[in-house]
Amino acid sequence: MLLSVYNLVKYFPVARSFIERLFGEKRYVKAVDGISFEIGKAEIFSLVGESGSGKTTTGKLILRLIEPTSGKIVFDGVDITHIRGEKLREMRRHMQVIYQDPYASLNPRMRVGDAIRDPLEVHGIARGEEAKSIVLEMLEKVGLTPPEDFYRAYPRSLSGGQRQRVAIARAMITKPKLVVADEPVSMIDVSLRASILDLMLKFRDEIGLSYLFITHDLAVAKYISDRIAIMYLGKIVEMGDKKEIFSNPLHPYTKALMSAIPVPIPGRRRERIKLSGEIPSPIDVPSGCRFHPRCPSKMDICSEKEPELLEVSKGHFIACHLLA
Amino acid sequence: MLKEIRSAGVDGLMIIIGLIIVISVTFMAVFSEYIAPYDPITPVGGAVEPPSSKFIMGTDSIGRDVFSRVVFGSRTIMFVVLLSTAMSMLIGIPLGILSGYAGGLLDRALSLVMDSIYAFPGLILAIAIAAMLGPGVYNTAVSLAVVYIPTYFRMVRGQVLSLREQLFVEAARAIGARGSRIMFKYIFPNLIYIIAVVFSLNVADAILTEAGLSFLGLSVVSPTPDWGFDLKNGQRYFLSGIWWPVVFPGVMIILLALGFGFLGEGLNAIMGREER
Amino acid sequence: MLKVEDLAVHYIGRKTVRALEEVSIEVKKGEIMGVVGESGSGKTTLGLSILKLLPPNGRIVNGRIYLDDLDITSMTEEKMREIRGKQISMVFQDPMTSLDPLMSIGDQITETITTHEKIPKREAEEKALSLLEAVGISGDRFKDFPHQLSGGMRQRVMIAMALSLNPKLIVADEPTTALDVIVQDQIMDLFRSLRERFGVAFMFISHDLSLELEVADRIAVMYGGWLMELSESNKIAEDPLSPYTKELLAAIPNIELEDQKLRFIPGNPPDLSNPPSGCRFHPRCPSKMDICSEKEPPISNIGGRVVRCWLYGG
Repeated sequence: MLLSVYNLVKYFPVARSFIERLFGEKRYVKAVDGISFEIGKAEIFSLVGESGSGKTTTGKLILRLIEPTSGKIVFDGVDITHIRGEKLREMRRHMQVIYQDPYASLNPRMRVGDAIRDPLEVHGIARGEEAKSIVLEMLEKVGLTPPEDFYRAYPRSLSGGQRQRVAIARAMITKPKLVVADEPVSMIDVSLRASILDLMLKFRDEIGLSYLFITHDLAVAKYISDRIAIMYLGKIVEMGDKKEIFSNPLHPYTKALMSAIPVPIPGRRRERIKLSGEIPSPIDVPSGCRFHPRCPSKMDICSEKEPELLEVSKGHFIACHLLA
Repeated sequence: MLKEIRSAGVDGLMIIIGLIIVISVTFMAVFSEYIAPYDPITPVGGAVEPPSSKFIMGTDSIGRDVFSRVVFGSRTIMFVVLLSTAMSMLIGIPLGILSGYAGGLLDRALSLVMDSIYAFPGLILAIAIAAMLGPGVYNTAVSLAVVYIPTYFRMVRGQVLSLREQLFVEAARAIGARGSRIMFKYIFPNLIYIIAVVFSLNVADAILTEAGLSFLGLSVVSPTPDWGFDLKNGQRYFLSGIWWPVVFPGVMIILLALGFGFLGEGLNAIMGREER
Repeated sequence: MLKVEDLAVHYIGRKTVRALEEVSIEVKKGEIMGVVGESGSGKTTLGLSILKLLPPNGRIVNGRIYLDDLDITSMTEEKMREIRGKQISMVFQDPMTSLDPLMSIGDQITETITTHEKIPKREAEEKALSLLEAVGISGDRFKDFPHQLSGGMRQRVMIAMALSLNPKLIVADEPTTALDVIVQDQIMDLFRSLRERFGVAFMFISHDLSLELEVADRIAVMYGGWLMELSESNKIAEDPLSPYTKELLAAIPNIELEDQKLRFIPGNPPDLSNPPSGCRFHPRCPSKMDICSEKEPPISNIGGRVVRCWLYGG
């Protein structure tokens, strides 16, 4: 396994007023509340959830941009949960990131060529002319041609799709083993998304790298993933092979999500599983199963006891009392 | 850059006027020997002679040519102000970047020191330091430098605090870049504009402070030509209708300060537009 | 009810951006008209133009906008204020910035009503209450403040405010983009029920063609400031006329398909300060012919369906 995550937890303390500090209890945003999963070599693992599900926080935890509250992360055989300094920097050579916003993730005062080249210099892989030629090759690979022109350009003269290609080039230049992609196509025009997704797939095929693909869009997850995990309010509620999950969704939330996604077929109103209300705040998490206030199949036990994530068939995990 | 200035309307006009003034005075300062008709420290005519074809700005109380003193005075003031500004920037900017990026105890300690200095009105503080150090061009530069270090520190620190939260800085961390690399390659280049703006406005202020110091006799040693100094000497004749020893240096002080001020304001407005 | 005729809007500046050109759309009473487009398509500009809310550098340089028979194209701001809210209102993407954080939601709706209609406050409050219920927010939240509400509920409040003066048309620009899929579904149901109950028409602007296909009666497909196709929704999906529409449909990931061959359109959206010659889509069009790069295609009408493409024109 390339990446193994055990009971990962991240709580953020909630800022409190003076009075609250004197009299109130400590409160936390329970962004990620005990999740476990694994990603294999050359595998694309999608973490799917709405905002507030904790998927983005999970990405930042894996990247070690923030420190876990508890739990363990093992990357390529090394326990990276609390590493710092040089060891952390070394890890970064093998784990890279692609962000959602192509406009904000590039330094406006750095030329495209310099931005892509930076990781090479940071990790001592190449410098000078050698680095430049590697970057030019990479620019060709991501479809930014003629490469010399793009090498000199500043991000402000590029379109959103082009900037995202630069971000991808920058992530791939050190030949990482794992890339965390946080909503990489959400801000890209629909007509261009497939080109970015295909580019990401191409790198997987060529370098054998894995992706932690974070998205709210189940349809995109279906297109690109090998395995999927669905998150709700800080927990994984269902996880398994892509084909299995889509042909046989078991968790009520998964089923509701799938039925709510619009499909390009006119006037089509599939059997909608209607959920009432909205995702509660991660500060006040419902008791027992977090989903119970909205669940159409709710039973008594659901508000009392939290369901465990159990394997119900080969590779298919679900956290729900209906199937316990 | 030029294209942006031209299309910026009023703000562009401000920058152009500012540039014209600043460049002209700089020219005057550099080529004083060639522009001034007379030696500025030797009496060359009668006392307080009015402006004429011989002395286009008249003479001062000792018979020195006002015009020549104005011309050489530009050198004095530009030198003092630019030297002090260079010192302020060399200390204030790196400390501001470090403090803003590192945060924590270092930031709180430095901010405390800087805020304390900043709390003093500039001229008062300059007077205090100048009085301690004594007169002279270099001492004056040091007094001004101390007064303005907090200005650069605060501006830069504030900008760094907001830059630090930007996604591309987090991306740089994710690449594995060290703090020093991030400060140098990712944060500093995004400060250039604001430094240019603060520089211009700050120099405008420094000019007035220097003039204030020399007016009080605390900066340069006589007979060094200095606008503020000449202002002080000339003022006692003003009410008798002898205006030229006062007005010409006085106008120059205002003009140069305005020049830098326009430059700074114009750059500030353009910077607002650039950030898109 | 709303008629946009041959509208052209430019953003004046260092480089003038030709954001909309020759756009003609009609919205019938009680209709849900979908306007779909990607970045630079001009869809937001269209919405703003109808409400005369263009930024200072935006100008209507050609064309007319009619509300029933009233020409509102060159109407003064004063007169427009009568129209806005009362006859046409708007719902934006981000409800947090459109709601006053210091006023309760009930009071905000009440105030919207009393500003425009001379009715006693008690009556206005009752009306506000019934509007909240109509959008699915229970009455006991009347005194809640925006920050106490979730994103979806805030958007419902925006919709209630948009409805408060019984407008004929609500222009909604990406109203659900910031919301999750389940809430989005709820809001779409809301649009449909409001249309049933109040007879209000919607101009629903979005980048999400699947969503439009589910909820809109007719859809206008925009690209690079042009109207490329306008048809009934079922026809657009079954039998798209414009090559752009075809490519766009093929680029949408369909959750019901297995092993979908997801397509994309090579190239980039056009630079509207310097648009391509001839047809604005030609550099990226798989059906491009010689004439497409030379002359602008005319707008054709084929059995009630509008399309702008040389495959059908001339």
